[in-house]
Amino acid sequence: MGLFGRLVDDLVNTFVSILKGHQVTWRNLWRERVTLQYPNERPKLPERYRGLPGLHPELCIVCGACAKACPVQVINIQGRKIAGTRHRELVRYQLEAGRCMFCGLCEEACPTKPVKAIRLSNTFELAVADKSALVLEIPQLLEIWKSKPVEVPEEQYLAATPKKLAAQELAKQAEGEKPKAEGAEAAPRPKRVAAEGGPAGG
Amino acid sequence: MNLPITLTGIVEGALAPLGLQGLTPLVVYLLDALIILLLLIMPVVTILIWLLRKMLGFIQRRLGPMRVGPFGVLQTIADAVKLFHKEDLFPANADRVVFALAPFLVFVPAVLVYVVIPFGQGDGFVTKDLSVGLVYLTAVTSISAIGIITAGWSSDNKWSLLGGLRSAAQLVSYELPMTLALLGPPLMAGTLSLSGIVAAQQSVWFVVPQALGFLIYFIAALAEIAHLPFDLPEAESELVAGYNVEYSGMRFGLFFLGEFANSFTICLVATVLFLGGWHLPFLGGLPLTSWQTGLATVATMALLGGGIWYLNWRRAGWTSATRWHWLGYVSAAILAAIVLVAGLVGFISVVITLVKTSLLVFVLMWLRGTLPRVRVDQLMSFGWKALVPLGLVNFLALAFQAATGIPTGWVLNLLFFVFVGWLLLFAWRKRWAYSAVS
Amino acid sequence: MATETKQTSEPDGVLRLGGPGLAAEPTGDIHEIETDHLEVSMGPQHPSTHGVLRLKVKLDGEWVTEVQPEIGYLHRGVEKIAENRTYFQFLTITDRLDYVAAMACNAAYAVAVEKLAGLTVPPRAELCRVIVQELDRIASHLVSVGTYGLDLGATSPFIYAFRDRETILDLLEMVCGARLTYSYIRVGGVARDLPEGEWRTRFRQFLDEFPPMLDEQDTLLSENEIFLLRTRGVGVLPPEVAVNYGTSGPVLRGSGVAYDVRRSKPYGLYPQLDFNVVTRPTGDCLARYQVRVEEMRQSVKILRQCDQLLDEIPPGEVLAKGARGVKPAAGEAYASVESPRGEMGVYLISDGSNKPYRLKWRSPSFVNLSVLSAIGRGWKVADLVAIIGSIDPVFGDVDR
Repeated sequence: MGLFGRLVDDLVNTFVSILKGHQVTWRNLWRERVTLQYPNERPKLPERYRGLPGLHPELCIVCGACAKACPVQVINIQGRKIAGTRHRELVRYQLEAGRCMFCGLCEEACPTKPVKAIRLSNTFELAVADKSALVLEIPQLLEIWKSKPVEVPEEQYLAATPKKLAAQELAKQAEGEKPKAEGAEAAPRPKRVAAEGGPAGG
Repeated sequence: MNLPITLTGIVEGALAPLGLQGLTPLVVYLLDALIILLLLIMPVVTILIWLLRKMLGFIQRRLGPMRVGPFGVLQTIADAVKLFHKEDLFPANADRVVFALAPFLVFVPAVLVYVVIPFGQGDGFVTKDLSVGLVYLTAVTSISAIGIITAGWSSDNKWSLLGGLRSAAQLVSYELPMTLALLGPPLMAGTLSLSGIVAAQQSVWFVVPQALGFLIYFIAALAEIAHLPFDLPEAESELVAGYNVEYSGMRFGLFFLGEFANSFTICLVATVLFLGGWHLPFLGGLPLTSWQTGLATVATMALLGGGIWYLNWRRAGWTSATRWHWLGYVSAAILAAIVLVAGLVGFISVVITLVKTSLLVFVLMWLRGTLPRVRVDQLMSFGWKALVPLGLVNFLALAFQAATGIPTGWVLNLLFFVFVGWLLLFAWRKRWAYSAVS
Repeated sequence: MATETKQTSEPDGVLRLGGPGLAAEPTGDIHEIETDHLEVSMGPQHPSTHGVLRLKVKLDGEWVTEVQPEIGYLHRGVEKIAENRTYFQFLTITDRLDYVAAMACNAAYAVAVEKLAGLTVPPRAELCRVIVQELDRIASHLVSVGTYGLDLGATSPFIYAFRDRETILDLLEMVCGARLTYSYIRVGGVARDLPEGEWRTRFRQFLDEFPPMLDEQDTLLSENEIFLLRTRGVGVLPPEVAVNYGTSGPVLRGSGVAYDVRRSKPYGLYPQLDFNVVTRPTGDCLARYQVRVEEMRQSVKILRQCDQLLDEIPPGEVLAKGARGVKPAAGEAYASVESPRGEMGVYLISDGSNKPYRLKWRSPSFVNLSVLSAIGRGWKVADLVAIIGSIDPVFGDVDR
């Protein structure tokens, strides 16, 4: 056959290859679509999705672990001591969403339990007309926090907020006429197990 | 077609009071051109672009345009509006006059072709039935090459220069086999007038005795309009966008429209010359009444339109994005009614031509969704070493047949059919193993 | 079409590589006509330079007579950034290096820090690492193969590839919550164990559905005569040159050298797994393409074994103790992994603090790209596009 055989082989190959490709595209013409009509159909996000971080100011114990863990330093946290107690309350919490890279290290560092005070939500639509709108303050962060469902009922996770603990402590102090070093140490400690269990707490 | 009120009558009536009767023919021609442009080409191109994007989308398991209008039908119009808004940029060192003219040189020939195309049976459906229609057609279509070359050169951009030079080589090379293949039908019909050629196909379409010629024409025409396996002049992954890199706004839009108008044109020419124009398969020789033809065409249209509708519905379902669905059905019903009524009157032959053309256009889109692009030297060697000799052989066989009556053309095509059948058989036995994927 | 590479030894002893156009240059008849060389800048904004690569290309008509890559448009100083982040924090930055295969970057960095600090990774975490790395390898090769089709003008294979990649990204999103910047493989283990239930079902479903899909998509390219014409014999890279330039990954294996970090310098769970190191002898664009396609099949094979191992290795600890605040003793370490683009290595020097004193990233794309000016000459512009695509650089990785 030689040259003729090769020619025939080439012809058959070319012919078949072109037809085969068209067979593939023809098959696909009749298949279901795989795309989403985005604004009308929403993607189903997995439970572990890492979107915009949200913060619950009541739950925050102002330990600063999130700000410390953040690789790009987008978290600006200010707190003050609740007078007379060892608890702190939040004064200001700023998160610059424009520079946030959604790594989730802040959430991992957060020691509060049973629900983390800072959680990555399912919010992924971040477009704004003005860059300054990307600097999120507490009210916006709370809204984002609440946008993601919590498994624990609200009364349970709001039972041991720093403010409530501080109030309890103050009440106890008033009751027991300032039990000096020991009382302050012993009373709130069991309720704040989270600080020990939390990986970045120490 | 004898409409009770003619265009000439209206124009004459309007011009007479002004004493300008002498201008009547000119004005009529201009109006004719305008009507063709506005009523035929613009809608056809608009719908064609939409169809292409839809089809490509379906092939790629997407939906294509869905936002503007029902199923995104109006997307092209939205795009055109956007292009009109854009600034008309001229590069600093461009040859301004040539740069400004080039898009028109590409777009206008694509429109001029329609002058001689018989869309339907009878004088009313062809603007000017030239006795040398085919010569006119080949002459006019090759003008766009000049447009592309000058566009590439005048932009003063190295990429567009490369694109322009590529297209110069490509368009000139493929002009030859295309013309050789186009010479077949007039040889058989004995006339250069396109209406005459269509009329000659009443009993048998020329694609049967000239299958080889049809194939050569189709491949060469793909290269002529720079369609996918041969879209080197604008190869976006190599030359960015080739000759139209520097164009913006509606000048770019003209290239864009011209490209699609051209793909419609080659399919239309193929329909007229090879696929029997307005004749229906197997019914061509039968003395059909108009309503029978009408019904046949409505059925075909319903199949085509229903197919696209079905594809879209299957994918999109009744989401809120398709809440204008009913509009589609209503317009389809209106269209069907028009076709039915028109069929009784005689417009039906136009519809048949257009249906055939759109089937060919679908083949173009299918090619576009499947094939990669060839390289310059491969393109050239394929053109000169395969298409030109084949075209010559085909032409000589047909010419010999026409001159002597010995059926060499038929023999050649019989051989061609046998060859294709043998290839298919070979392919089937050898390696047509394709794993099924659900 | 001339298919073999012309190699001419110059008087200075320098090996000159290139396509058929190069040999024709000195004596060819056509070259007696005095013509100008066209110098064009291909990129950084060019559809087929895969990012922000700029090539200074000298053209003689369609022939490429000289090609010089220019890089740095995406330089972010990642190595310097590393000096200001703790070991644990910097991991999130490594996602931004080879963003098409971020798992490999995570793994390379994690392996290096573990070597430096002497951390032991829990077995379950090693398994998770292999699974996500191999999934990511498939995803990355799909991008490469798909865009390769796009470079050669075929649009559908690209979309089909991305359709399958989407499935993988969904799986990885369920694992770690992100589709591109995973930050999943951590220093000392992984962030979380793989999810159970739905994820496992979809993972198995993917393993069943993917191979036929890959075959189908491959039909469009490697069984298409036009594609073969465009890639066979184009951009040939001889094995000795490939080794001399230090290339790795599919670029090296396409030239017939069976070097795969997973086998040559085994790490993690790979020594226990059964897979082949894919090579092709010809060293042309087609070979590199085929290596990638075949590697995807090998990855599926690995993943099937991992699917069994998931039942054998019980869930448990996935992060080594003390990984978060890791503070390696002063010293240095080099470790590498097989990223989809080749050997991705990290060299670390510690001064005993919790931040690296110096980090050097050996990015495979950068090294592989260096071969371009050697093999890109003497081909047509269209071939140059095919050659760039077959090298498959990712610019986050090249420019760092």
